[in-house]
Amino acid sequence: MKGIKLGELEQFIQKLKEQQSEMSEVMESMRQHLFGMKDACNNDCFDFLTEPLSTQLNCFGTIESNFANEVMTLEQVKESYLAQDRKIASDINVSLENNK
Amino acid sequence: MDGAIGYTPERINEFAKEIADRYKKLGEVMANDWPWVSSTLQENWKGADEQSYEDNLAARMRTLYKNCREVVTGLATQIINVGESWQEMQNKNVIQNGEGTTATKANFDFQVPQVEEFPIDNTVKLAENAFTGQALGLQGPGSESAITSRLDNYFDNIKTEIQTMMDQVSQFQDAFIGQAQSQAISDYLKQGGQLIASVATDADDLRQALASVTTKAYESQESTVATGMNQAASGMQGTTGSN
Repeated sequence: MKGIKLGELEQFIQKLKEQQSEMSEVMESMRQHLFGMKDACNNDCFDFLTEPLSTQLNCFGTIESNFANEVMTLEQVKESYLAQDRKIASDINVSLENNK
Repeated sequence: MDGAIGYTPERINEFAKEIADRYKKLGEVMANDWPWVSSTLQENWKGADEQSYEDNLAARMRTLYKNCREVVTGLATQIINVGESWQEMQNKNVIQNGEGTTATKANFDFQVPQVEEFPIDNTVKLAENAFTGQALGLQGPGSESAITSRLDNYFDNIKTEIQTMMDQVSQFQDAFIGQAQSQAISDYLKQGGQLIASVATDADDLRQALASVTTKAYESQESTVATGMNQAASGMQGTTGSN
């Protein structure tokens, strides 16, 4: 068969969402930590840390964004298959009516 | 496959091939058995009226075959269209750079059955005077039963083929899987089977009508036979359609 197993896809999306939620908590904690570090970098003694910490913050943001995109994409895939299922049924029903 | 949504290209191709093969087989049965019908008629019933009757019967069989082709072509085309619609949808929804999401185009190699002229053209075209000196009409006491028996056998074989085709169609509803579409497609194939069954009913009606007229023919003067035959054939155009 070419298609999707709806139940398994939904479970996968749900799992991703749970992981996304857990990751967001970890990210937020790390972000606060890094902000603290960054504040500390205002002290001239820590200037060398400013750039790598900014990069780290950006990376966290990208990871979160990618995670959200993955969930959104899979939701769209699911919806497109459901819509196709309904479209085919509708087309066939029209054809059935026309043949009566 | 509970909760699945999609389609099975292999089953779609199998469906198209099966229905095309069945249609071809129907034509073969119609054509292969025809010479026996024709020779039985000509051996047991001499005269121009027999030729007229044979011509009418052949024309009705060709019509029945063409009607069946319309049903078969409609069913196959619709199922292929649904499969192609799925492919189109998948190709439009390919996730860029995603893994395992590219829709591979299935090879729907089905060819819509061609119109094949049903080759029952061996009716002997004799002039009326070709029978000069011969006894016209039925040739003996067993002629009626010989003709009736041959016609029954001919129509039985055709009806069996049509019935098999109808049974086969309903077995392919699993080519499409999905809560909404599978029910609609099941209903569609069921209706397709009913249309094919209606062709079988046509064959039945044709047999009964011709048997009835044939019986009357044996009780009449030959000069009145052709009129009866032609009227019967014309009357059947309403049920089998005319091309």
